Amino acid sequence: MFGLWGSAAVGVTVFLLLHVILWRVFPSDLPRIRLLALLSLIGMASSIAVHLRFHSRDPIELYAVCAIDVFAMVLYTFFYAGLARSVSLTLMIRFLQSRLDSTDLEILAEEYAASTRFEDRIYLMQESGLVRVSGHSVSLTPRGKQLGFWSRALGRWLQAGLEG
Amino acid sequence: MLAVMTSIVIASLAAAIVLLLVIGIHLAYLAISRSARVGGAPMTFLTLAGVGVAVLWVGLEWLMMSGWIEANSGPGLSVGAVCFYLAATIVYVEIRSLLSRGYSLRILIDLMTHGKELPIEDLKSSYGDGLGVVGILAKRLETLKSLGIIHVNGKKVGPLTRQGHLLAGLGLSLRRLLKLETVG
Repeated sequence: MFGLWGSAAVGVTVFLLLHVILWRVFPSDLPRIRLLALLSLIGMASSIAVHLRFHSRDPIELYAVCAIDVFAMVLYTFFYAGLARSVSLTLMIRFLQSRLDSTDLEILAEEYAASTRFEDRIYLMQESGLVRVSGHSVSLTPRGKQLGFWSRALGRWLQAGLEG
Repeated sequence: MLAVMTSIVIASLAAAIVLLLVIGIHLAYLAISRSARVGGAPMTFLTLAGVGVAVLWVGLEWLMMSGWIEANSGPGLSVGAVCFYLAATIVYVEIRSLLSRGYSLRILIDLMTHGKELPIEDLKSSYGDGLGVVGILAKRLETLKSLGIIHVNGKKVGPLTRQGHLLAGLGLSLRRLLKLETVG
């Protein structure tokens, strides 16, 4: 049993190391989820290789190792999405860094509106091909329209509020 | 070998069936209790997902005893099926979270609703069907308050709680480690 978790841990470690090294050496504003998925596959391959080399070739054990890796990578992706884009986390960090005891909601809102965070999000969406920015105006690309359409449909089906 | 592969397929199918049942019950609960719909009743789903783990584990034990899957497969089959099931529940939660609170998705919906090109300032002020920036912040702060991360008293916001300090510090360190600069 230890072999399953040990082998899976190797894969997760390989994934995390590659992730940190690549993100530090090649920083980017984009979330790079596809690259993260590729790193997960490399991590999983490492787990399988370690298990085959040091434990057994039992298909059921290999299935379990893959499953543990998939669970760990999906959990990390969930966590990473929040780390990379969370407005709430940005708010919390603002309070931590400014060492403020308290402030008015209006002052916070003015600060946020005056900052470029909203514009930064629009430009990131442009880099992802979802919107087109011309001058100071924004419009949807066909890809953005498709994503918006399917999100609305899925939101209705899953009864999710789409409130933002 | 065929028996082993069949066992893996059956265990995975069992995980998929339990997942669909859990999601189905969650959606039925949301449909019935409309007041819970906006938040998506996360605690209800977590409870259902936990029950799903138990049902799946017991179900796999029963399948082993009935001879549907290899009896001498050890805990590997159950561990594997449960991990895939848990991964899929996380995906469901993430999709729901993105749909209900996704910042970029909401911008897309706002643009679709207007049906034309919009100046960035107008998009900002009409974000979230008219909620605007104040609305985004107020919503996020309400959630942070309910999670015990920050003190909110009427229009006064802050300070962070002790838990909030720890989480903010961890988040800041990780953003610096991964050089994530242009964020939410």
